[in-house]
Amino acid sequence: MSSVTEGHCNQQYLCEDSAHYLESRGVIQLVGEGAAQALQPLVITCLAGVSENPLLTYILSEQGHIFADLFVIQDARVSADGTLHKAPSHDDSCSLLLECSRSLLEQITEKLAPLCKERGVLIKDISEKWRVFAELPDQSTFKEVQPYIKYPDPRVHMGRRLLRARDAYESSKWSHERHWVSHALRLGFLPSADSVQKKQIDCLQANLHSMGIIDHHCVPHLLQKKLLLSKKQLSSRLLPLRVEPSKNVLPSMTASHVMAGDLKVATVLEHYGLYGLVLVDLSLWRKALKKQSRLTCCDQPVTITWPSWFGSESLGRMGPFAATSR
Amino acid sequence: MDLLTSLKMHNQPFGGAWVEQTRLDIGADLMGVLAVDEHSHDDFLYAIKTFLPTAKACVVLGMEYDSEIMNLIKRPDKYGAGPKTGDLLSPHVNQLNRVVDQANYDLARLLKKQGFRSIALPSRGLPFRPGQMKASLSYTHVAEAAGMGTIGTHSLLITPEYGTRVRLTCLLTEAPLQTTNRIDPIDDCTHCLDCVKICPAQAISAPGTSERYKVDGFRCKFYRDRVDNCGLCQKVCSYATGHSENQGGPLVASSNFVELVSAAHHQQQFGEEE
Ligand code: SF4
Ligand code: SF4
Repeated sequence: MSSVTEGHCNQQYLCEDSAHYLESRGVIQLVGEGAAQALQPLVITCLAGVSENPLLTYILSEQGHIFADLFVIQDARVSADGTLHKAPSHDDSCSLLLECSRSLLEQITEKLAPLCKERGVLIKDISEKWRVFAELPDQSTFKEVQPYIKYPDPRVHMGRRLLRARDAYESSKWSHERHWVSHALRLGFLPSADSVQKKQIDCLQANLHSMGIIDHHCVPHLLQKKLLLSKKQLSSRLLPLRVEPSKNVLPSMTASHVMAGDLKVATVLEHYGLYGLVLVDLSLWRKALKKQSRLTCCDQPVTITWPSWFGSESLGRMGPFAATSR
Repeated sequence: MDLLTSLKMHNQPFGGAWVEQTRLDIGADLMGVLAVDEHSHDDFLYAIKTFLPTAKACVVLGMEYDSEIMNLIKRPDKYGAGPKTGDLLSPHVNQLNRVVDQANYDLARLLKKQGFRSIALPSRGLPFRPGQMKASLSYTHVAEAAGMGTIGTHSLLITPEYGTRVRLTCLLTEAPLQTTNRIDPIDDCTHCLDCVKICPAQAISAPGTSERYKVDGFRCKFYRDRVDNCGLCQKVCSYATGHSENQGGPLVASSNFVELVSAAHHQQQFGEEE
């Protein structure tokens, strides 16, 4: 029989916690004075206030397409070796934590390498030391003594994220990442950039301008020009899809097309449960609505809507006359 | 103009000149149509089969709740020493039922005169299906399919015009009406979960991955029958109010009209987007 006094690895945490464990997310640590300056040229949001407010930002490809989403966090309790302490660390290091997709860790590190080398900043993959969690707006998780870092997901009604040491107590009640993904899809948000990474979707199509996370002076010249163009000129947008099944079983719709008769009006980028995200050809979609065509995907009836957080960009808010079928 | 000719005109709300003219004639605040055929959702076909097997369309009529009355609803513990002003809701619902049922009856007569058998269903709702806590036809679902709005977390319809403060009723008809739909529909449930937080009976929960909403109708009904007439979820729904009961502040139900006016102005300026 092992003794419970030997250390926490022999103890069990009996408070069950229902945080969503985001297994697909990892953590990079940038250590050094110039960490924020090294990262700045890669991202579309100004990092000046990151020491006070952790933020969500995106890395774009050279062509202006979405490459990765990052949460950038600065917490004085994290020491240079990537460990979280109960009190601010006194090793005088200035470090940033980047919470990002595990599948992109290597590529992000590659992009960061020359910028960090210039400023003497160290890049470390510390994913093995951390777990990333999300809690929904109606949840309050981890009321425990072990330290963790909690920061808001700035997207409306997306709740908060948490970073917690991997060796901290586990709970059998942790929710699967998929449940959180479904919440994001319901609200019309990209759960992570993974699903669009190879799809050449630019930040306007993905509605990042509506989230207020693009700082115009941080984006390349070409994109600045594009941002100045009217959003009305965008021919396709990323919008939420809702399935209206009459049975309890649904096919996976990811990569399928939304059809209005023979017309392909949208492509499904991600789908889980009743919700998905589709890249919609706006004029074909409107044409289908005017013709009162039923939308289907994998033979299931589906509906595409604008989410309320950028409904002002749709025509549907225009009162009864927007319902006109000319 | 006869019905079939007018149906071919589309330059009106919800798919036809006839719909808008009729809505005005019968005095309904909202009107939408869902054409039904063999491809329609099983739930709609069930009701058609039950009530009027030859029906070709469901018409939904909506009447706005009086915001002044909705604003008087509070949680029972919030009235303090003052009168229970929320008690005005129940008679108001009766008023609305009367008005919307009259409009529905007028519409049924109008269609019957043109030779289409029609049945005006009651705004109080329909009997449950045997052995299920499920109405024979959900007016809310028909209204959503007719482009009149979106079903929110509280399982009620949220319309762009009046938010969630609408009383609905439904008519089944043999008239071959066209489905009305909204171009660029918006999901007007902001998923703020204010309705979940306010519900004193804990009847509304945050929905899971396979649910659009999760409402325990029995808890709600029990609470409304035994404790308080309630209606709080309808009051706080953030689209109608632009405000949350949980945060305090005045309720301005007419704010969406400002939006409608500016949107109409926008349309005049830029025309319709293609
Ligand atoms: S009417 Fe009242 S009890 Fe019923 S769901 Fe709404 S808030 Fe809850
Ligand atoms: S209160 Fe919020 S979550 Fe509930 S139905 Fe209204 S918008 Fe949706």
